[in-house]
Amino acid sequence: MPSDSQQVDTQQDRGERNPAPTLGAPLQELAIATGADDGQPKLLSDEQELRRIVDLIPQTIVVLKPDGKAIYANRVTLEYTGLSLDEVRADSFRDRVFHPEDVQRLRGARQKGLSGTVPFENEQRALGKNGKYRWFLIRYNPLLDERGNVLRWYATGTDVQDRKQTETLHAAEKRTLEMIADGASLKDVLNYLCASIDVQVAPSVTTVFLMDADGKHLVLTGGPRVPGQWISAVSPRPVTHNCGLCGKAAFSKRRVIVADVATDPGWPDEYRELALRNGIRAAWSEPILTKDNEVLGTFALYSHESRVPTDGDLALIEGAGHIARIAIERQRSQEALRSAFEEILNSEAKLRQEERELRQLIDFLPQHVLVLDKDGTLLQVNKTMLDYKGLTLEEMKGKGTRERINRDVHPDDLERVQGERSAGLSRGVPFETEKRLLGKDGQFRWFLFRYNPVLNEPGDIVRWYATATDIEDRKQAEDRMRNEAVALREDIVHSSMFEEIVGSSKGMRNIQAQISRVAPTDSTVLIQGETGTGKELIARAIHNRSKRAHRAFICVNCAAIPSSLIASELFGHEKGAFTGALQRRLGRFESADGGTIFLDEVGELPQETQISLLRVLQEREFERVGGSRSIHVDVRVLAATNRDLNAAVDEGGFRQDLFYRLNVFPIHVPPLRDRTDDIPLLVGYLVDRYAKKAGKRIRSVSKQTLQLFQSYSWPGNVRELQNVIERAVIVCDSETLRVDASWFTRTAPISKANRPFSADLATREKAMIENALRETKGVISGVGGAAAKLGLPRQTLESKIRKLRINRHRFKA
Amino acid sequence: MLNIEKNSDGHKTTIRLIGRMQAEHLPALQALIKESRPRIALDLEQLTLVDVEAVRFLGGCRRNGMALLNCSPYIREWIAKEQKSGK
Repeated sequence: MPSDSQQVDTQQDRGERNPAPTLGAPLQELAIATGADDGQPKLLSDEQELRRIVDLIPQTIVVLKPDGKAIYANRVTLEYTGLSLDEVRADSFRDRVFHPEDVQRLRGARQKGLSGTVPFENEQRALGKNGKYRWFLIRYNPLLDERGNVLRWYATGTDVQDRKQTETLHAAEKRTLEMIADGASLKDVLNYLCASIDVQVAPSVTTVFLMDADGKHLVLTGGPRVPGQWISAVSPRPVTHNCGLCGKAAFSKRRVIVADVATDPGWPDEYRELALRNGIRAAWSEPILTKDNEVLGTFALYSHESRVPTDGDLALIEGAGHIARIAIERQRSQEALRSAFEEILNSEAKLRQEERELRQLIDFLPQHVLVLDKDGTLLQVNKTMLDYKGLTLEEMKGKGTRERINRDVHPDDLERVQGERSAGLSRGVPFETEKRLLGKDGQFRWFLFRYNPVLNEPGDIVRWYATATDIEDRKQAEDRMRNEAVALREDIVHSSMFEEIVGSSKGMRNIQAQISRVAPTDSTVLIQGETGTGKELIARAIHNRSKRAHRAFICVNCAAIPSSLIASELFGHEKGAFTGALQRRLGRFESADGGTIFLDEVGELPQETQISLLRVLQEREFERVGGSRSIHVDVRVLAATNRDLNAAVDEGGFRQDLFYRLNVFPIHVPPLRDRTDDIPLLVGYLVDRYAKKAGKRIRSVSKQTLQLFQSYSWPGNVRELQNVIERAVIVCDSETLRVDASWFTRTAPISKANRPFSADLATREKAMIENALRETKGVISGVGGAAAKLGLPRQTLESKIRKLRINRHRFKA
Repeated sequence: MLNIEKNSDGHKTTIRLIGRMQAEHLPALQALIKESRPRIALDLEQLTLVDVEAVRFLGGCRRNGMALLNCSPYIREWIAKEQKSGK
């Protein structure tokens, strides 16, 4: 609107309607006096005074006939429109003064009001003489005669341009906020804002430039009526002090006014011609700033005429800039909110996805995973554990922790596990325990449970995470290793017995054939033979050629275990079964489960143990000493004895029923004297072995020696032969092995009453070593040591000293 | 217990037998020989003990052209005895 437009104060309350005056009132006289077209009434004396008053009223006043035709206008009206009174009275007055849109819009309502007798009003834009429209509130008040007919209409116009501008700004603000709330784009919102303002400032146009993300350029975002050619030239716009109106406003953060584009030196020359060509004669730009003085953009107005903005113009663009700021900030807030919300949603979705993946991962772990509360109550388990148990989570939880543990844990582990578990939970540090857990197939498997506490920030336990790893295979392997270790220990002890396999005499061939026949079966075998004939070797051969070859071979020398302990050794015992039974111990039968147990010297078993052994042979079951639970085992029993069990049965020392159970497949191992054909081979093997051990070179055995060996009865069998040859090798000082016949004459004839040859041999050996130690004053190694004197390696001599229990220190003095 | 070590230089394979060799070890040894090159030698230096089945197997190996290296006198004698009794 023009800056020099006349401002008309509104002196009437907008909310009141003027009461319809009647004839006789002072205004009636005025109406009569001014009703020039009639020319009838006589002029009043104070006409001039009244006209002066009417002309001084700061409102436009037009007097209309009942049909709406103007007949009078006051001076304010004439001065504003620049029309003469005749022009006001012309039929074209309305079309000439009022905005075409308003004329069209109000035609019906105006006609309707004029046809009535009550006051009415409307708002319309009236064109001033400066070529600009301003908004006016026009109130129509009728002058009625005594019968109530309209004589005149008094149309008073109040300039409401500022109010309309404020209303426009309020409406624009309200609408923009609604649009933002409805999710309209910022571009749409700002275009609407500009369009709203454009209505007020037409034909001028407004624009909104927004700061680019880089903070260095402005981009046109709103301005629906800005010429396209101008937009393409000025957007984007650098933010500098010398690059145009908006760029400068954004750069300086201050309002910039160019009153005349054609001449203003601040207007860039390269855009001057283009601006003028697009009807831009003046322009002013308002920076849109945040409360923190950050530039969001600019609100600009391009005027079609060169002029300085009025206070109203400036207030308008300032108000519009304010609305734009609200719109931009709201939009950005919403975008930030939306972005934050989306981020939260994405984070949640990602968390859920990760949780799902983690859950899947945990579910597919081969280990069982459990989550317990701080007291150890089960909260969660993974699928692996549910699958193993064949239960749902709720079923897993059961009625409580105690019931769950009682249900799931092997009875033998129960007491220990409960103790370890409660101690671990109360300590509050990681701990682990091994226990057997019942599976859905009704079988127990060993698991290693590892418990780890989860602490909150103050350090209190809030959860326990537990993993259970299946260690059944490891446990079995451990059992096997333990059994093998037992077997190995015995193997080492009895390693000297393996030479019995050397030989291919008829007796040995017969034994081999029997082993081949019985090995693949699960039959119990009773091996009989004199001591030193290799009964254990036969048992091992049977085991090694059986389907149990990869399982344990447990050897028990029944004669070597005190009778009071043999039952415990064979069948195990429970904790507290007897004094000294501090913990449960598995017996040899349990250790041999799945494999073979070899009961050497079975004839020495006490009567009560024979009964238990009979039960094992019949039912494959037994009870631990002090226990009441039957334990089932799958064990093959091989037994051996050098006693005549038939005679023992007759004498009542051995149960007949047990003898029959053992004697399913008897094998009789021949004594060495019955396989003299094998003696040369055995001698060859033993000489080779001990010569290597002693570091000697022995190429042959004298013929007499060999004859001596073959003629001797060998009551100690191969073990005795081995000892003789070991001794002969020690004393041998040539490449031919010889044995003095006196070695045998002294001991022969062998009888049970006489001292065993092996014992005599050990006595002689001990005496020789002691003599050597005496000579060397206890020194073993070195050139003058006892080992050198005896022609033995130092290690061999030390071994013998230990074996024969010689106190070497007593020779040092 | 028998340990078996195999060493091949591309032309000749040496199989070293360590410990005690009995009937139950023969299938594994036969398989190893089968998959080895034709020129095979069995090194018996550390073979401490054999049974009759092992002796017969070694005798068979020797008849099939395999060299028996570092053979103990008693094993050699036993092989000879077995061959003699088998004829």
